[in-house]
Amino acid sequence: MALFRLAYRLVGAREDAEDVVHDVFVGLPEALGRYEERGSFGGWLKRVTARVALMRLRSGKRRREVGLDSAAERAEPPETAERDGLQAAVDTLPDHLRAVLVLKEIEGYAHAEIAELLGITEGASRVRLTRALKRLRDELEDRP
Amino acid sequence: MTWKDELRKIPTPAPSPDLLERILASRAAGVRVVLPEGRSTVSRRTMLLLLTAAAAALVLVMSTRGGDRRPVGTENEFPDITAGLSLWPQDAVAQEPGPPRRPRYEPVRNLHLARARGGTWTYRTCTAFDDVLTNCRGRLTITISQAKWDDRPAWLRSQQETSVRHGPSDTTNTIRTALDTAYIDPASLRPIYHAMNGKQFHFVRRVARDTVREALDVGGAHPRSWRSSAGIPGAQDAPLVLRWARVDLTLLLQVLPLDRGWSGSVYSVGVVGPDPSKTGFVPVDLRVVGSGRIEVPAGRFECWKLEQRESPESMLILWVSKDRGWLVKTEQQGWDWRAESALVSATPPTP
Repeated sequence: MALFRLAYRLVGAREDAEDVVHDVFVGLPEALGRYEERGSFGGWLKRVTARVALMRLRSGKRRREVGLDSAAERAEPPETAERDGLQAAVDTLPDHLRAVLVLKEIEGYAHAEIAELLGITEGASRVRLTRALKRLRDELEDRP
Repeated sequence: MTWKDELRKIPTPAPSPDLLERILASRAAGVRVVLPEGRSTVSRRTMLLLLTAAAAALVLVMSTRGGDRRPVGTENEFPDITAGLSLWPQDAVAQEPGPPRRPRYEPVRNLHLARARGGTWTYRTCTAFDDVLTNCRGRLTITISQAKWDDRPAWLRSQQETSVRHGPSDTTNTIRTALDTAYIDPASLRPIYHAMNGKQFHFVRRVARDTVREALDVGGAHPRSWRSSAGIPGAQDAPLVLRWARVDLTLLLQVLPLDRGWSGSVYSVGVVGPDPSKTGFVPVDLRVVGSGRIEVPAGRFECWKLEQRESPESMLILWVSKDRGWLVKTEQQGWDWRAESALVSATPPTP
């Protein structure tokens, strides 16, 4: 479930997240041969999932665009209006900003790890996070 | 509560109940996905060129796949297995065969076939990562009974795996993987017929003297199917064990002449698949490495300790009871994870 949650937060649609988890577990037997046994297995698996999700974002091969039907997809109604607004605000972020926000603020990755995952510099990761936070703030302030 | 806490609490939907089945069906279909590496030393432009060339090569291979490459005895025209798969180019290109491995030991022989008995065995399966996250929610039940196949005596073996998944709001779901049924020849311990049915797939294997034929039909969003066959390696009267998510050794272990220093190999048959250059047969290498008294929920057993090697990287420890040849416990150890299954109950009951 943790892998699905991570994939969903990155790709933004249930069907795409399922495809990501599907591909991770189908490819896992071969990928285990490349597991270098340096970090924890769980952490490695999450990084693999993040990479597959990010590749899916980059490839543009997504079944559904971010935000479409997102309200209907939610398993549970949000507990508060604030959280509902936050979700909607996150949905408005472009992929490259949302990915950094999810990886840093929700998954707790360091900028160096995010840079490695996204193929960007650490500085770019910091800039994207700043921009993502600013956009979030602006979006939330504009909402009634 | 900070906005970051709120961010982490944004609800996510639960995955579809058939996701696990989809994964298992894809594995059964021989779908191979190469997961992305951590670092790439190739520039994006070079990668694009390589991918373009590889994709062109793939199209060429697929378009020239003719009668010479088709498996012997193919019953139907094999449809394009890559159609509709949720893969992107580098994954499709990565569907390459690996060389088959030779058995490490002599083929198993001097089997005590009269020792084989029917029964029901239930195992608890657990996994642990970093000794912290422990999952003991799985149950595997194997049932073996006497039956008839084509008016001849046969063993009927079925297995079912159940696991409990915790969903949102503390809800739990019990997931049952596809029920798998096999008829096995009691004189050779070679399977005769093997079937597996899920909501969205149907998989059947028939084993003749020297050939295995399989038929797979997958439904759902990406329907696909094939009919395939392959020659079985090794002697024609040697045992053959079935492999799905695991290798099924329940009958074989009962009849092996286990003793100190014993070793032997047997072929397992997985999915033959549509590509005749890939092998569906993997040797299972077994060796007695010790003995001991093992206590599990089903009781206390005097056991042989066996190593089972499926590949240089993968080794399983099997504890097999000396009196009846029951698989009592399995252990598998990785760098920061370990998996274990233990016999919870057995019928006939333990003595």
